[in-house]
Amino acid sequence: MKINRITIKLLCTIMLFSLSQMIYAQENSDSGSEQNDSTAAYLEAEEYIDLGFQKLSSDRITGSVTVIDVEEALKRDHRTSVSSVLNGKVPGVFGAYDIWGTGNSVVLVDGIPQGDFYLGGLKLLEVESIVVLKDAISKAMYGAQGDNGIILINTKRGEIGDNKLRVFGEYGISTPRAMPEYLNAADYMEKYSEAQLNDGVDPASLRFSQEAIDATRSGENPARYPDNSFYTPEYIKDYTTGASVFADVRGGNKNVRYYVNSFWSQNNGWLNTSQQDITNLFNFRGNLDFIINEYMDMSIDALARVTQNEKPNAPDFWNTASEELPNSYPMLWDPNLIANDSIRDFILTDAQLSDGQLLGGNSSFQDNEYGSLSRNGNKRLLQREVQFNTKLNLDLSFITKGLSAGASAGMNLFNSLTTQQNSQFAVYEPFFDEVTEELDSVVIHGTDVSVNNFGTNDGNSTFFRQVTYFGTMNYERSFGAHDINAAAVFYNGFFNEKDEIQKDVLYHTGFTANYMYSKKYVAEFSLMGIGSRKLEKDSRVEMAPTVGVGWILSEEDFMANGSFFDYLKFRSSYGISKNDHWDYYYLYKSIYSIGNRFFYGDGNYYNSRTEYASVPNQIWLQKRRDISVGFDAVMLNRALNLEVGYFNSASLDNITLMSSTYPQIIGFEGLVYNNYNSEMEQGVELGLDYTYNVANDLSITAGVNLIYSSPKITKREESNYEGEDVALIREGTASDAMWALKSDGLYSENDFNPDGTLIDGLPVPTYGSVQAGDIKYLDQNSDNIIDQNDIRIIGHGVRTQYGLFLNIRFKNIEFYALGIGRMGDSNYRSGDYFRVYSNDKYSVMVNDAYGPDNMDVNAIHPRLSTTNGSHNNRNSDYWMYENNTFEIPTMQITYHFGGRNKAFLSDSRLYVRANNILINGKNTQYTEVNPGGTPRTKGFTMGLLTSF
Amino acid sequence: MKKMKNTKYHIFALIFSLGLFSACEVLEPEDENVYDLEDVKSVVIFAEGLLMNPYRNVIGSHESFPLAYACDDAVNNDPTNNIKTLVAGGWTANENPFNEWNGAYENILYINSFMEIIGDIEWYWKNATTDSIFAVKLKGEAHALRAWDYFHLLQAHAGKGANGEMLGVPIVDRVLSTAEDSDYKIPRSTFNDLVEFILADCDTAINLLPQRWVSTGDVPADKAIGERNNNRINGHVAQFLKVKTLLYAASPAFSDGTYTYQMAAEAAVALMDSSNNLANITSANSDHIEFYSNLDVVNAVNLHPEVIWRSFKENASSDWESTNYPPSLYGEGLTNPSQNLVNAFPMLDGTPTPDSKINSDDPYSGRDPRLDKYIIYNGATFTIGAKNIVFDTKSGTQDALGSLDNFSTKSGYYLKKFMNLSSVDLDPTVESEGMHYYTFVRYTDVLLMFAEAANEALDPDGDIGGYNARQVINAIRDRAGITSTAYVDGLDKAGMTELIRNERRIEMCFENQRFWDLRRWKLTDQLNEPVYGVRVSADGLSYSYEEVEKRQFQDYQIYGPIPYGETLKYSLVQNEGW
Repeated sequence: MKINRITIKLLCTIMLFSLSQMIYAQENSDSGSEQNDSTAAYLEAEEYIDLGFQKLSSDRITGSVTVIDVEEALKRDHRTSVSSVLNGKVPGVFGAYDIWGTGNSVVLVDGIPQGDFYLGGLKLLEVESIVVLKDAISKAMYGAQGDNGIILINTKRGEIGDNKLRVFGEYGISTPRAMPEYLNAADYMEKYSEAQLNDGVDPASLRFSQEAIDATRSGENPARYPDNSFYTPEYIKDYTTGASVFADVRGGNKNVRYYVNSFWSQNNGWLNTSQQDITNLFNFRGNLDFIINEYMDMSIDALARVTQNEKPNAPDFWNTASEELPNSYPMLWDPNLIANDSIRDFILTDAQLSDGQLLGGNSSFQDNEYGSLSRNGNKRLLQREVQFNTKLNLDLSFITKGLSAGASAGMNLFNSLTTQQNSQFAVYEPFFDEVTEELDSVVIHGTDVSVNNFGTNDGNSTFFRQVTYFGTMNYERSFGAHDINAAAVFYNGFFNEKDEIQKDVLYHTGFTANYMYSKKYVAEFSLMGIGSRKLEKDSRVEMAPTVGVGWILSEEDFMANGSFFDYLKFRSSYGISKNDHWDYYYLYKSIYSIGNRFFYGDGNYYNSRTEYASVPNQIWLQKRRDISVGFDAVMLNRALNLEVGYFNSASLDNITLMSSTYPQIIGFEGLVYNNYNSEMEQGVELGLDYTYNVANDLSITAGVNLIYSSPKITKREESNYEGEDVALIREGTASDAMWALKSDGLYSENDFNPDGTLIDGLPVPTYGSVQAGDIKYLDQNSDNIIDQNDIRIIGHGVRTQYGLFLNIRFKNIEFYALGIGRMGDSNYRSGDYFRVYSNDKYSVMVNDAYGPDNMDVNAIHPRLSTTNGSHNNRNSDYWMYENNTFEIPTMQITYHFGGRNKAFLSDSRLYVRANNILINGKNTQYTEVNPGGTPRTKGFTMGLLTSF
Repeated sequence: MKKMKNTKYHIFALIFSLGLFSACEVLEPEDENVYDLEDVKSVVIFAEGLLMNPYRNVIGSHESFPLAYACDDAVNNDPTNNIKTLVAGGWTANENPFNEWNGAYENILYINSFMEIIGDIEWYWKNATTDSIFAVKLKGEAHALRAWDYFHLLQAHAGKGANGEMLGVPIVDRVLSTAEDSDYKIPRSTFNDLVEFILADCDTAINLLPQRWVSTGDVPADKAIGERNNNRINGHVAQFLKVKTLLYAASPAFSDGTYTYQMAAEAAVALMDSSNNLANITSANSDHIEFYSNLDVVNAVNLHPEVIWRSFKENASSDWESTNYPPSLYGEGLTNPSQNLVNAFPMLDGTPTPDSKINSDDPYSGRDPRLDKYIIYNGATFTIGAKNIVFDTKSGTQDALGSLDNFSTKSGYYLKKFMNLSSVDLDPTVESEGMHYYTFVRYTDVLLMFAEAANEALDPDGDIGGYNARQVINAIRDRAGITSTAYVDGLDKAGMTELIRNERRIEMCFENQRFWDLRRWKLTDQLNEPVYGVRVSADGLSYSYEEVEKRQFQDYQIYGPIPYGETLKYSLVQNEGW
């Protein structure tokens, strides 16, 4: 049992300190002011915020913390996904989970970290509250998990009182906001000819003759001149629907409390096919809190969730629809076209017809899309998750007043499995006689095989198991003007995934102590030991300290009278957290691993490769240093709430592959790592709401939640650029910067000599030859060539997000609207919908391309080309657009039966909601379509919730 | 009260000790199959495993044929292929598809690591004789493999530096340390020093390795150097590398007179004498030019005179075919031989194919039989599995130039060389696979190198070691099925130079030669030869030729670049112009 001695000493010190605190507390307990001894009493106190391992009154919080009352939020905005109660509603958060722009935070549900599948299925109806922990001190107790902030979700639990039953149902309909538009076959052929002519192809050698184009346009013989379109009702529906039903019961008495729910939802997919395209979700949750004796109570929670997705066993439809050319093959063709009777009869003997027609295809296209959707069988994706956790709470007030302890253990298991019917089908390729133009022969590719049973594919199955346990000890006492609230924790979690040898392990232990004097001054200190499996033995635990201070100014005499502040608090925290969020386990030592085999003796003998897996690197844990300063205020007779803060979060000493330092001639340069790269985000967060009571039964509330964050690379392992190329150095620049070539529109014909070479003085691009209509990049380093050293910063990512809301209550009716704006963002038009070249399917973008009829050097698309587009198809400011948007994700009218806060049908309501009804921005034509994927949607939802 | 205090301490112990003292267990990583240097040294197969790395990444394996479609022998039909950018002026030190730097130096690291421990290993504890033979042959393999990797570095990266000197690459002959900058910031050697280093490795390997892996019945020796070692590098490969390196060093692009054609020819003679000289190079062995599928060659492995080194036989695969078969045969038709290459194949009697033949309605009959063996053209007949194919690229068909099918040819031709037509049928109702291997070195290359070196050193009939260029070329053409030596017999030295280059082009097509050959020959005007293709009329009666791809290379691009990123790490001289 070797463990770093210093660590042991430190941890022993913490223990001794904790012990001395407790003993001191016990010794002084008689002189302490009277407090309610029962643990239950402080649990019920409303101003307490549950930070997971510690409950603190809001006055004593020195960090940046947002608490969401989910029940209250649902009354006006009944979207039930977790993200909908976060996005635009929390100061300092981008989207739903990105706190301060540092990346997605860890989400803990009842103390257990959860991933996308769990959160995707979690409904706000089963959630009691959400707490967002943004700064160093408030997330300190979460160790390495806290790197990007923490979101705590507490699920509903039983309550003392009569059984309370809630039933909820919802139905929604969604329609596409925009669909991609592609050229039909004849237009495609014409534009392709334009592309070929641009490339210098001899007009006599064009791929499509005018005859073929005309025949295609006439549509008279689709078997010979096909024109397939996928965005039609034959393949996709005009709208999709979703429905869900939820019911829960809660109740209990002094000794036992319980909560049970069940939930079912069904979402229909877009495909209009005889095969199923549907997703079902079933969810069951239950928990029990019971008192064992006067010192002990316990809780047991369980969850089971199953989703099943069924769809045709076909290549992804949206991908095919965005890539397959309209004239590749006839989708369906009429067997009666076969001129020769005996051939026709022969074909029809075995052929399985679709709507009386044959599936078309050829040797390059055997995946006829219509056949894939209707004749390829079905594919099912089954995902299952179960979770158990249990918690024991001990009231240790018999040792000393205010002392309690808890222990918790939880486990969840997830697996997913894909099964499919591996049916096959034959496709029929028609051949036409050049002279008679009759369909005179047919080639059959493949065979029809119908498979009913579902086969599994083990490669597609996944599995993970997660085990978490933690113990806490809490101490809370007041001694006159001194209030102490201290907590110690140890936390340990494992995460195992299929085919992964190493488990992800979370390990940390330490304490936090909050001291308040005279209800005005708060000081907080935390020290955590953070452990990692990825460090050398004897140095696997490192310490991370954090401090916080608070000052409630409104309690001071000078603020007491006449101030318009009802409440004003200054708060600040500073601290370090550490993590081992890098991939490899043995970076600190020299190891070899056994790799693939080399076969010799013509395969009769082999020996495996012995590979360098790691070389000895001196490494330690990655750090994050957070600073937070802020004010919380309530003003104007409690009508105005304000929360404003500055943050500065630096990610330091990140494990970095030193690939720009060590040359490839050493051979193992891909294994040299140091704690090197660092970044920093800083900005402001703001939350503000104001309520105006117009009349007794009419009130209006409006507010804003905002974040502005600016990220910077503070240290970076990179090449030693010299001369003009020092402009390429990333250190000191924004980490969300878009680096790309700058351009000055397109080349015009005046830029070229008669022989096609660039005129003197113009820099020469190195991405292949250019001509008029190609993008005219700018030479930034004056070496007279255009290459990757000419890239510069041309834009950056989202810097500001603001959420605006308006809530109007009139009698039993409530109206709510949320708007979310994003600013600072730029984006590229990318993908083959916006950048069309070579064999891509031609989107409507080509209609505005530079060409013989549109010799505009500012055209939105460069000249068409059948070649690889290596010059034009690379990121540059030509393709960049400003992506500032304002959208209204939700707008809801709710009718509260019996009044919003009345007892009869105590919590019953009916609502209608418009989803994503407005998206406003200069360039939404680029963001609204989703080529290659399911359409972005807008829609309406209505729902009813009743309680008994 | 006392009892209560005990309970208190128990609870403290429970909560905290659980967390603190379980740390060492909890924080111990799971056991993985990883080893330290002592493990590697103590287990023979682990130690030998170091040397398996350069074998797994043998530079020169041609899974596809990028060097062919970067020169005038072919184009490919994939508009997004990176070679399309390269040939259109996009070959840069930053974007170099022919960069061998990284892979070669990684191989060299493993070879040097192996050399450093080779003396510490007991290779065969059961028998001291076998043990010592093992140690010798493994050392020989290490030197031969290192020469192989350094030759490929020379081919892809050596050249005239921006400082005006003819440079090689940094010579790394040991495992480098990262402790001090000076330990690893190694400058490029001179070109001649690199050649000398490669030749020294070759000589060491030639002394230590058997020429081929042959079992003699001597059990202790067979264990170490018997035919079970087939597919490992051998003494003949080291001899071959010597010829190749000397020929490069004597070629116009590199030569300063230190290394001569005479030396290259003499090195070739040493290999020819220790092989079957010209005994097998006769019309009786015309099948040997299909060395990739001919069963005599396949089954004779290392004893076969034609194939000096190849990878092991994969018995069931179809990657080459699915990539290169024409679309009507369910392939992706990637590699499209050029009209330029087709025109290079002479007539059956050995005379160059006249324009009148090329422009006739029957351009493919009466030609060098290798044309039919290596290239699929309109009207070609062959069998795929059990199917007899009469190949059709007439306008309007799926396989034609300009067809609607994106897998169709861009030149009018498809690749037949390396395809296993008799076994591989991609028809979804058949889906049969076949045997494949990669040929790293074949004997014909040695003969062609001899002919080139001997002709340049002396003249077509100049005798070096009992052979002359004209004799060797006639033997190769005789084996190919050319019916007359009259044309070759009438050539002077300059004519012979031309002919040997053409012979090298067609015999070694799609074997990654011509791209670098044109460069070492310094034929800068031929680098930008446009590539032509053929369009066959719908009635099959007229053949028209059109330019299908332009080439844009600069004169300095006869040498490859040093990777741009490497030149930023320390003062590593870049080649001129890059």
